[in-house]
Amino acid sequence: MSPELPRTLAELQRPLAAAVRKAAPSWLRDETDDLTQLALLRLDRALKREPDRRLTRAYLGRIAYTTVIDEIRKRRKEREHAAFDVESADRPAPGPDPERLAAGSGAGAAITECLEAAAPRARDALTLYLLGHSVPEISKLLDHTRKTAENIVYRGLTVLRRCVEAKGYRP
Amino acid sequence: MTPDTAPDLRAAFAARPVVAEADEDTLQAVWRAASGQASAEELAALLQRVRDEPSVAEAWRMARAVHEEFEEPVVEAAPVESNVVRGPAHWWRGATGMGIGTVMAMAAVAVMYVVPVEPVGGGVAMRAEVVRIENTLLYAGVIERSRPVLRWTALPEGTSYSVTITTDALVSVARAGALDTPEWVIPADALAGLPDGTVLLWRVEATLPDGARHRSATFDAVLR
Repeated sequence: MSPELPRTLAELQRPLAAAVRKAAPSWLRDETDDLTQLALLRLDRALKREPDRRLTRAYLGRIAYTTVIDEIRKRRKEREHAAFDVESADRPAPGPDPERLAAGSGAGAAITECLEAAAPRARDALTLYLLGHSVPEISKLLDHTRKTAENIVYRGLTVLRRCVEAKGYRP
Repeated sequence: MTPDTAPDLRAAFAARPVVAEADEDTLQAVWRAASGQASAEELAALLQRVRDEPSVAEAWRMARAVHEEFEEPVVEAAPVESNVVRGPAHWWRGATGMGIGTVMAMAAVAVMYVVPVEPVGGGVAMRAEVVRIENTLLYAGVIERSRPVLRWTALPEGTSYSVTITTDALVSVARAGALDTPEWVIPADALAGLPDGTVLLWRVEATLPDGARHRSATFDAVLR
């Protein structure tokens, strides 16, 4: 169990900022100070609602995670609105680079199709790998030996790459 | 060896456009599952949603990153004792699931380290010790520029470690020797010229207090 943390918000700023930095996608990284402030406000509100709550690093992490997700959703909504707003047409829309998104969407869809065609064991292991997990983490999460996870992932990636390339994408 | 397009497959998977946002319950379920707190059924169901819904995948990546920062125990660092495989029956059990080459290599090493101990009941009990040095980084497949730390299994006090890092093209990146703790922070300037996505290979050599030397396997990790 995580140890309890000090309850002064100022003392919590640093670990919260670190968690926010990790959660934020690259296009939001310049705004981690603002996001940390939002996370502190969220934490302050939560502690007022539940003053006796046990304050652990895991809880701080969850605050950072939900703060960043909320901000991303807000930006996506702004982006959707900006698309219909003639006056804002010249301003850069908030959010990830649209060209990168367009390029990734075709290959991303091809990857998803190829995953669906894979054997169930490989499908889950590869999905975790594509989410950024390492082989040791995958072995733990899926309860495989490390060697089994390694074989599934690395053979699976070779097959996945071939499948994606057969669909006309070269990621 | 990691297939060379793996980072790009990850990037393409991450670039799928979000069509619908995940609901609050899903976000909390993802938070738990990414740190290994979901049952096998919950995990399988969530991974299906990860494939179907890019917003769930996005939440998972964030949850994973935060758990990594706070070192939630998805993978525990293995204590030394668990890496010392004792006795023929035990080393064989430890080797199940490994390739035949690895098993043969382990067997050879085990034979080298078989030493007689006190006789029991007229026979001779045999004890075999195989020292295994594992990568104990929580997220073993990644080296972060902001925190380029390598960690590995701690061996008995007094052990000295050296570390060698190369690119996957075997170009030397950095090297350290005479380390007395099982971790090393890679100097930032050694990584400065390498682009994100570079696959780095690293290996540890340990010299025990009695002079015995042990090498780890070669670990790979992507620089980001």
